[in-house]
Amino acid sequence: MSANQGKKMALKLALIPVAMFGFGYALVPLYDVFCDLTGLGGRGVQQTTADQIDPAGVDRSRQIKMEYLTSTNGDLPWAFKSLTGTTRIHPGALNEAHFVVENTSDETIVGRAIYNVSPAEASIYLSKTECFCYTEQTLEPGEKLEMPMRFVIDTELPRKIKGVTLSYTFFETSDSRGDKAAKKTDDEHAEAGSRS
Amino acid sequence: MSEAAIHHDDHHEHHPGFIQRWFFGTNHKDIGTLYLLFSLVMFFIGGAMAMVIRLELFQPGLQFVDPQFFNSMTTMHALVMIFGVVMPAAVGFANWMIPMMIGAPDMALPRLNNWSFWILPFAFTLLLVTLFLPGGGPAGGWTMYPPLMLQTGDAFPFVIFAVHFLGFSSVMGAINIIATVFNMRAPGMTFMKLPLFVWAWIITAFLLIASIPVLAGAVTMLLTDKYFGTSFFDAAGGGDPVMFQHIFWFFGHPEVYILILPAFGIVSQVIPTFSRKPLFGYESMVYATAAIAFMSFFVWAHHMFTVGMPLAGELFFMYATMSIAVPTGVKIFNWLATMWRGSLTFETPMLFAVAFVLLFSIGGFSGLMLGITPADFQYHDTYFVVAHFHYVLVTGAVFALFAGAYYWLPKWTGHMYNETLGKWHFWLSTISVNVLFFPQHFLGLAGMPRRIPDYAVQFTEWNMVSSIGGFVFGLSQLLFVVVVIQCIRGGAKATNQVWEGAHGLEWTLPSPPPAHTFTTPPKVTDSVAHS
Repeated sequence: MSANQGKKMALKLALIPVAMFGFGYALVPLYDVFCDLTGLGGRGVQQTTADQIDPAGVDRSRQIKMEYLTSTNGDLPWAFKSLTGTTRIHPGALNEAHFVVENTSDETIVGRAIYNVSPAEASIYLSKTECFCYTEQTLEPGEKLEMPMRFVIDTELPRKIKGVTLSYTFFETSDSRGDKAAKKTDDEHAEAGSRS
Repeated sequence: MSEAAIHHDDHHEHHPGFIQRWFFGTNHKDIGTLYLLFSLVMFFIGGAMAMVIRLELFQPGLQFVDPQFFNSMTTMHALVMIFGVVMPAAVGFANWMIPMMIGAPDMALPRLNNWSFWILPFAFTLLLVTLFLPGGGPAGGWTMYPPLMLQTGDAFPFVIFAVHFLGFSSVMGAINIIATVFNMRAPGMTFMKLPLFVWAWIITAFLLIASIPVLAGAVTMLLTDKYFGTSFFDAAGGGDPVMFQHIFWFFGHPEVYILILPAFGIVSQVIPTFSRKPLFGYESMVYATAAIAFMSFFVWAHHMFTVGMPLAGELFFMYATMSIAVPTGVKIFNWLATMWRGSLTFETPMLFAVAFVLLFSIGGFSGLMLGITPADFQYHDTYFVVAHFHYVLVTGAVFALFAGAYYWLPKWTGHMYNETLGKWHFWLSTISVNVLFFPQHFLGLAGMPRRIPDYAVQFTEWNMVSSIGGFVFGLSQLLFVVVVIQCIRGGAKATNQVWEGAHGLEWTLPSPPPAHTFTTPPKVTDSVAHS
């Protein structure tokens, strides 16, 4: 009697969990789209060139307070700090901040900086002409590297945003030290880079 | 009515051997019993872990266990209690009661049913052996947030595969329940005549099949991140650890309703019986339950207000969360209105059900407090959260399971349980559980963080009180085991109806019911339907 119907229905119902398992994975690209729209995770930052910046378009009527955070992930034996303290900048003007990173270990290590912007909304109005975060950095034992970062904040930045914090975290990507990060392929880094 | 069919069956009954019956059996009643006994065993395993936690927190400083082990205790306690106690117990009730309530001879897919249950012992073996592996058990919290979870040692793949197995088990169980209710109802048992316990379970089953696979996906991503070089949650590879929290809680919030909706169903059976009145607002109960389930898919981010969401997101999830209080309020109102001017008696199941209504509401109110975004920044990850979810899960879900167990034990065993011991169990549990969890509100508001084995000295007194409550609550549960064993062994003979005010098809069957019931579908009349 109805037992057969039960089996048929169970098979149909089984499609729901299969679909929802897929939906779990579909949340990954959806989350990307969401981040692009809101600028979450620093996703809104654009790459630009210095000649695209209009020197006349500087908004001198207001100042934005810029802060720079630096950190290293896990046990990466690098000393990483910002040489530029808190600065006040005008939207539309090209600004420069300086960072220094030093390999304090006795091994050659490859690292890569990942950035974030707070508040997230501000990242949509942020463009960088130069950043050490676009490429991998290789540091010999004891090597010290000074890195500039140039950026401009669009004059369209909403007036409610008075301050912007840029945060950089160095992750280890070297193969030589044989830890987990080493397994990441170059392709993925390229992909990560293209999102920047 | 169905007596003739039952006697007919008795003569032809096939008597399987012990192994045949309990290991290969497909009878819904036997599988229900297995589920319930399994969850009782796990209740004491998870409870023992809670005792370790309360023992360590009895005073500040590190006394008994090292921090790593303490954290693996909090992690395992949660996994065992959620997946090993509350969910299997609810499935056990469903197996026993749904076919008898809708007038079906068995579940729609009896062999799948056997498989659903027998996955569980294997899954929990996988999970529990991690405590004996080098590096110990998982200690990153039951929510398994990366990157911390990815630092788990050898236990990591065991936990992931245990979660996969548990997911298979509950999804198959849920499909079985839906197929049973949709196809096996006795003639005349329309959807709007179904007992509320059955309704609660259909809705829970849909939540299960829609949300558990998302958890399976999330833990699979963790697995591939750790061993196969993917970067779903690894910022160095372009991923985002916050995304895990979104995916996890997309499952996790429906999950909390998976834990509580069957409890709502049980309480909706018990209260009318001992109020000797039909359930007030049956239809609104059905719609409120469905509304809660539907809304549970749109509130997940209230678990992660502090991750740095856009303001619009914070506001949306705050309002969505608070609006769930509306259908929940409808349910509380209906339970109170059912008792209103009822001819009340307070046997143990009713005591647990009334305590459920009262104490679950306390948990609901602290949930509202946590749902207010700006307030949540203060409460997040403190003992206030711990107090909140233990009020809804212990005095909520677990109390309802006790109510259901006392309510149906005479039907299952054919004997009345020891009412005196039952009342002792109730009063000891209710007093001690409040001594255990109420002070945790104060600790949380004062700023004591969760999942830390040590604390600042100003938290000492309330932690001591809480621990004493915990030890009494833990020991009181042994009384329940005594009651259950006594009840299985003997006692006053239970009548078919058992309780004077009980209505429904299951109460037309003998106590205990024979192995096969309703092989001929019963006739559903208004007097045997829910109201």
